[in-house]
Amino acid sequence: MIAGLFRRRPARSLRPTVSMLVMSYGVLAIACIVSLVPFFYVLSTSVKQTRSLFSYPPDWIPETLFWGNYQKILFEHPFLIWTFNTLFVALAVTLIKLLIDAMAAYALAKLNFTGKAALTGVLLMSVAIPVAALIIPLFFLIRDLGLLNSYWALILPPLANPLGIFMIRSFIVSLPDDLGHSARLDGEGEFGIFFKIILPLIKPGLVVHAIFTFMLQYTNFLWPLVAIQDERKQVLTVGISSLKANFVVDWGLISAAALLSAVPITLLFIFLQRFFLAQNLAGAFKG
Amino acid sequence: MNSGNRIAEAEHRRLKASYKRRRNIVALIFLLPNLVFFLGFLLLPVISLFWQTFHDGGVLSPMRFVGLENWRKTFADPLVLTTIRNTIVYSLIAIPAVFLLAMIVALAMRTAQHGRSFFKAVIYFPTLQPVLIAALMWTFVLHPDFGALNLVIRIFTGEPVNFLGDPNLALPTIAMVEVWKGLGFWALLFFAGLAALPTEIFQAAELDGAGPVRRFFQHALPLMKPTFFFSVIFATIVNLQLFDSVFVLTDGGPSNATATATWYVYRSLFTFNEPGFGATLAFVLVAVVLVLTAVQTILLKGGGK
Amino acid sequence: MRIEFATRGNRIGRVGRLMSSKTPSLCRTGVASVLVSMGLAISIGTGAIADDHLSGDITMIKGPHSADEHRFEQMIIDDFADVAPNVSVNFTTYDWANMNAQLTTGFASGNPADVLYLVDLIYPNYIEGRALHDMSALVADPDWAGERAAIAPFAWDLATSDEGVWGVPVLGAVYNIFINKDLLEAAGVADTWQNSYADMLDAAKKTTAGDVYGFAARTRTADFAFWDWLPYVHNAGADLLNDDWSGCGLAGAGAATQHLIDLHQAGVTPAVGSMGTQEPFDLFKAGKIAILHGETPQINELLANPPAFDWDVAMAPPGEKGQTVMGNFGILSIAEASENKDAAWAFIQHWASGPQVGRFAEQVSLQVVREDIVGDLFADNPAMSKIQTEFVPRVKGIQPHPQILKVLQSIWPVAEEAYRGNLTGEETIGKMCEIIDGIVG
Repeated sequence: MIAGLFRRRPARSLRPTVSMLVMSYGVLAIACIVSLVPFFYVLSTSVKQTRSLFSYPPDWIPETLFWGNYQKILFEHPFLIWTFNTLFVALAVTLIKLLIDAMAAYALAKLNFTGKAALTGVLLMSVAIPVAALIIPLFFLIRDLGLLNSYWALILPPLANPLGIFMIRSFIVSLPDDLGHSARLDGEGEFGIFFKIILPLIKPGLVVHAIFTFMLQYTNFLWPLVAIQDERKQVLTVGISSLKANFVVDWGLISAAALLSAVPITLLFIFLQRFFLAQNLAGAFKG
Repeated sequence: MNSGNRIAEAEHRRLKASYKRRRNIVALIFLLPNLVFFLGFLLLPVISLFWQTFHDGGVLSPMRFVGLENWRKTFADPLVLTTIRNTIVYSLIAIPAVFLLAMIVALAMRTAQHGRSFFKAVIYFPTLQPVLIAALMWTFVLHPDFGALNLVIRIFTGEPVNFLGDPNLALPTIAMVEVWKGLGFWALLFFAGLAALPTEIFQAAELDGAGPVRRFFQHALPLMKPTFFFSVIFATIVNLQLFDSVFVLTDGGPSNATATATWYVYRSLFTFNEPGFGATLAFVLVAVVLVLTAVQTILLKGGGK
Repeated sequence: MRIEFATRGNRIGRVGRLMSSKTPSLCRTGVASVLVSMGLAISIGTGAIADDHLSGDITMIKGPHSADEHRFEQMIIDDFADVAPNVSVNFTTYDWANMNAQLTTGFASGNPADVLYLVDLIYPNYIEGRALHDMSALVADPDWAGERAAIAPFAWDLATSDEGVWGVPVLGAVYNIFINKDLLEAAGVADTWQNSYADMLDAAKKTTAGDVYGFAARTRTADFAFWDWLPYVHNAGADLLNDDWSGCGLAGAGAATQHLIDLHQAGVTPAVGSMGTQEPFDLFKAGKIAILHGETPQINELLANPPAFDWDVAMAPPGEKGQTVMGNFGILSIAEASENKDAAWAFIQHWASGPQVGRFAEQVSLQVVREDIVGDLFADNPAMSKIQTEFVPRVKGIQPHPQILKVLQSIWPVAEEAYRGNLTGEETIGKMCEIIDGIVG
C-alpha cells in the first residue's frame, strides 16, 4: 500500500504530444524563474557595502563582493543564538507533536472506545479554529503559568493543533486491521503493536508530518513576537525583523540575515526531499 | 437451567463492561497526552476568549467586567467591518488564484517527466521561507522608484505602479506575495493528487477519444475531490488568519486598505492596550471562520453527490 | 553611604535567587547572578570601594538608534565596570515598530527589563498602568543634585506626571528637514523657500524636473508619518488634544494640512504611500530630492558617505502662530517589577552622565537634554550643532496622553486619504476630530 503510493507508472498510450511538452516545460521554467528571482535581489544586496537598499540608479550586480554584512550578522548580533532557539523550539515541537499526534491518531483510527465519533467530530471542527485569534487568551494563559519569555511559551501552544492527528490518521487507517489482530493473538499489547508494528509502517507519513510541523514552526512569526521579549530567547523571524532600526535601515545586513536564515531549512529540505515531495503528501490530507 | 443462563448473561455483561472499560482506558492512554494540550491550549483559550469579550484590562491593569461594552464598540467601529471585508476579499483573490496557478504547474509537472525533482525543489523553495523574508524580497521587486518589476513596467508604460502604496492595489499585491509563497505547496499537493489517480482512467478516456482538456475536467478533476475538499477548507482557515505579510509590508495601510482581522486583534492588544476589545474581534474571527468552514463542508460534500 | 549600599547588596542577593527560580528555561541570568553573588562575597571581604556592594544582573532594553546600537551600548556597559564591577548588564533591543508588544509582554510577564529606554509616545501608558517605578526619591538624592540640575527643566517636566518622576530624561530626537542646496540654488529659490508655505510649494515645483522630486515627507502610518505633519499643526497653534486633554485640539490646523495636501497633489512628491523612511533618504543622497523631511540620525550617513552636492538642515517654514520643530524625548525608567532597582539606578546614573550620554548622542546623532554638555558636543558636525543650538529650543513634542499613540495611529489613515486628494484640509481635520473625540472624549 505504502509502496504503491510511490508508484510512478506513465502509460505508454498517454505519451504527451510535443506541443504539450513544450507548454509544460515553458510553464515550469516560468514558475522557477518567478520563484527564484526575488532571492537574487536579496543576494545582491547582501554582498553590497552600501547601507542603501536602493542605490539610485539600482545596480543589481555589485562590482566588488563585500562579505562584511555576513561577518557582522554572525558576530555582532545574536544571530547564532536566534538560530539555535529557532531550531531548538521547532525540533522540540516537532518531536513531541509527532509522538502525541501519532498516538492519538492510532486511537482514532484503530481503537474502539466510548464517544469516539463525538471526539473525532470535536477535533475535526477544532482544526478550523484560527490559532491567530487566540493570541490574547494564550498570552494570558502563558503569563499566568509564568512561562512568558521562555522556551516553553513557544513550545506548548503549537502542540494543541489537531491538524496533525488527521494527517497521521489517514496513514494508519489505510493499514489492514489484520496486522493488529494477529499481533494481539501473539500476546502483544496495544503499546507493542503501536510502537513495533504501526509506527515503522507509517514512516513516510511521520516524516511528512514532521517536516510540515517543523516548517510551520520555523516560519512562525506572530506568536514569538508576542510571547518573547528577551532578544536572546527570540527566534529568527522576529530577530531579523528587529534588525530594522527605525532610523537607518541596514538593508545589506538584513539581506544577509535573511539569506543565512534560509540555510538550515533549505538543508533540511534537500536532505529530506524524497519524503518532502513524496506523492503521498496528498494521501496525508485525504483524512 | 434458566437461572444458569441468567448467571452467564450477567457474567457476560460484566465481562463486556470490564472489556469496555479496559478498552476505554487503553484508548485514553493513547489520547491523553494530546488531549491535555488540546484542552489546555485550544479549548480553554476559546472559552476564555468568550469570557474576555465581557471584560477589559488584564495586561497592565487587573481585568474588570464591562458587560457588553466591547460588543457595543465592535459593532460601532467601522474599522471592524473594514477588516472583515478586507480579509474575505483577500481570501477570494488569493485562494482561487493560487489554486488555478498551482493546478497549471501540477499538470505541467505531470506531463514533463525530465528534471521533475529539480522543478519541484525550486518551485517549493519560496514556501520554505518565512513571510518576513518573502516580504523583504518583494520590497526589492515592487518599489515604484527602485523595484525591479517597476523598472520593467516603466519601459512599457512610462509610469511606475505604486503596488503597495495605492489603496486599490495594496490588498491584491499582498495576495500576490502570498500566492507566490504558497504556489509550491499547493502545486506539489495537486501534483500528488494527480499522480495518485489510477492511470487506467486516463487510458479509458483516451480510448473514448477524449482530448487532454476533457480528460482533465471530466475524469481527473472529479477524482481529485478529496484533495480539493481538504485544500479549500485548509486554505480558508489559513488565509483568513492573514497577518505576517500585512504586518511586514504595509502594517494595515494605506488608509486601512490592508487592515485584516488578525492585524486588528494584534493591534488592539499590544499597540492600544485594549485586550477586551481585541478578544471580541478575535471571537468574531473565530465565529466567521467556523461558519465559513461549515458552509464549505456542506456545499462541497453536497455538490459532489 | 557605604552602609546603605551594603544593606542593599544583601537584598540584591536574595533577589538574584528569586529571579533565577522564576524562569524555567535555560537561564543564563540565573547562572550569572550566582556567579556574581560569589564575587560579591569576595569583594566585601576585601573591603573594596563603595559601589562594589552593588551586584547582580540587570537588563536594559532600548530601541536601536543605529545599526551599531549594540556596539555603542557595549562601550557604555564596559565603562560601567569601573563604577560597579559586580553588576552585569545585559543589553537587549526592542523593535520600534513593535515596541508596545515587546514592552507590554515584558511587563505582563512580571519579569521586564530593569532599565527601559522609553519614548514619550508610549511611557504615559505605562505610567498609567503603574508599570514604572516612581523615581522621585532617587532623583532627589542630594549627591546627585548637580547631575539633576544639568538636565533641562522642560525635560524633567516631560518625565513628571501624577506626582511622580518616572524616568531620567536623556535624549531628544528632532525631526529636521534636509535640503539639497545645489538643487534649490539652480531653481533660484536658495533661501526664499523657507519664508512661507507658499514659497515652499513654489520651490518644490521649481525644483521638480525629470526624476527629481521637489519635496518628500513620510506618508505611511507604519513609518510614523505623523511626525512630518505635526510641525505644521503646531505652527498653526493647534495640537492633537485640547488644553485639558478632553477632546480634539486640531481646530485651526485645516490650512496647514491643506498645504501638505497641495504639496502631494502638485506632482512634486513621490507617489503617496510608496516611500518609507529609508527610501526617500536614499533618493536624497542620490541628489533626487530637494526638500526632504527626515531625522537627525540620518546626518551620520551623510557625513560618512558625503553626497555630491551641498546639503543643509532646516525647519519647516513658519505658520500663523510660530515656527516649531517636532521632537521626541526618551527617558530611562526603572520597571516597578525590577528586583534590582539599586543596580538599575546606578546604571541609569552612569548612562545619563555627561561623558556617556554625550558620546552616545554623537555616535548616533541625537540631541541631549543636558545643558552642561551641549556646548562641547558636535564640534566637527555643523549640522548637528545647528540642530542642537537653533532647533532644540523650538521643539514642541507630543502631548503625553496615555492614548496618544492610539490617537496618532487612528487618525493617520485619514491624512493618507487626504494626501491622495480625496479630502480637503478642513474635512481632514473634521474627520480626525471625530476619531480623537471618540478615543479621549
